[in-house]
Amino acid sequence: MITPVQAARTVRHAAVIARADLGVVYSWRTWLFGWLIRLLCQMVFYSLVGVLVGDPEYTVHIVLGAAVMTCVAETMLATASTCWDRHQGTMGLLTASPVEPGVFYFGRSLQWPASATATTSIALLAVPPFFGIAWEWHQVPVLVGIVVLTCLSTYCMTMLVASFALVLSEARNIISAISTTCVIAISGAMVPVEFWPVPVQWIAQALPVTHGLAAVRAVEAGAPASAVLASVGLMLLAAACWLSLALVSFRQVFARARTGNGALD
Amino acid sequence: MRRLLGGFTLGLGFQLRAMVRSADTYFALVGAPLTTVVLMSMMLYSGRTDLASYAVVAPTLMSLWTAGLMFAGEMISEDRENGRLEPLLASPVSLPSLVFGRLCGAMFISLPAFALAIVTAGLVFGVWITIHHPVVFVLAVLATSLATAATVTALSAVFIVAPGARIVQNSLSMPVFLLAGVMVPVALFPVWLEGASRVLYLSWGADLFRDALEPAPVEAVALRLLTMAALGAAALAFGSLTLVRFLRRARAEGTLSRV
Repeated sequence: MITPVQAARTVRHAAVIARADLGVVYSWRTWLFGWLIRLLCQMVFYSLVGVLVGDPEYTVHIVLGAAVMTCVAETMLATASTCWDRHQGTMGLLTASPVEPGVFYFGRSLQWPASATATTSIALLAVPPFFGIAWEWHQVPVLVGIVVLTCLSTYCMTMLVASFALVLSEARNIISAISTTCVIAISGAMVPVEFWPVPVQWIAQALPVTHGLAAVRAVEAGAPASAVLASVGLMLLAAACWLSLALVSFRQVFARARTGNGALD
Repeated sequence: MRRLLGGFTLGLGFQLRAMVRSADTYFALVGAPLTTVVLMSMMLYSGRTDLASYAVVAPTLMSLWTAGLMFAGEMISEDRENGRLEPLLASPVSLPSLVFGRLCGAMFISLPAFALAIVTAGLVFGVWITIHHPVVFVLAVLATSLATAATVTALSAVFIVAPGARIVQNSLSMPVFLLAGVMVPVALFPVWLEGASRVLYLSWGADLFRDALEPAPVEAVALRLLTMAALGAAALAFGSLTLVRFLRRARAEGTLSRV
């Protein structure tokens, strides 16, 4: 059984790789003028559908949904980066080491929720005013706080997806794309969750971002703090469940690989 | 002429065979039905079933551009890594026509992408899209595919000349989808932005695709096809010239291995 101190140390060590990887993938210029612009364009792309259908109220719904989905698009990149060790030849070392795999992988891709916190905050605070949503100054720290927790919670969900991608690493980008678009479709971002059949609504309730988005909508609607906190609480509960499953899943993948039955070569 | 045609047909055939085994093909394709689900749900929720065809056209064009961009980015570097680049350059075929041929092969992805989008709309939402102007539709598919292949040929040349540009390769998709109006017609944009969008062949292709699916008569078909052909030809000329000049210099200076 790993102690919290050991877990924190593993995450801290793995996060060194996360920081180095981010520096390799992006400079501040390519992050700002490439990646951020791409994500903002994605948000505006969906938001303009509201303008196309000619419904201002629905446009507000889409704008907020599309802004929060920025964090899903980015944290899902952890699915790919989890597989990078397989291509860099370090997988054997990892498998042979006594590390708790799920904890290691939690730290290994932390660059994405960190970057997503910045991109999603910018998307949520800077773009909606162009679509008629005016934020009050006191709402800003609340929104940023929700964004931080939503990014981390979505990252917990991504960890389980990443554990599957680790086995099917050739399909990592396909798995990531399918997961991202499914979340965008059913989490209430583009259409209310109630639009979908009941079984799909249940799945939507299991997604952390569904509740993070609900919290953002509650802030926008000026709902009482208890409503916002209730949504945040549900999100954290869902995140804890996803992370627990991810830890078990990573342990299984490594256990099979260590006995020679896995496919982590 | 034989060098050009030989390179083109070789590239086309090679790409079609390679794509069947490539995970990138399926990555570009998988987006079509899923994006259709997202966009169609928005049309149905807002009660705008009259715009349902938009939710089929956009994912098709997005798959087309995604595939083109992906293969254009990887093509030359993969040739180099697999040891094909030097023999290719020593062979009598024209490299620009080979690259263009390969990227034309990649454009065949539009057929399964459109089929997946249309079947998804029908099976998931019960909305079956009718192609009201089949001839215009076929011409729109051909013109858009060729112009896409030409444009990404130019981009592949840019990626070779300036390898740093490949960092933003993944970031080029969404701005193009937005600016070209693959979902929301550029006619709804402010005038200054519409002017910029009209420089992109894809804005003409998206409009023509949508019009071919609508019952109303399609206006100025020839002019729109010619505009796309002209924009595609300009991109192809730029890409070919850039490739030829760069490779000539690389051969003269012995820097081919650094490509």
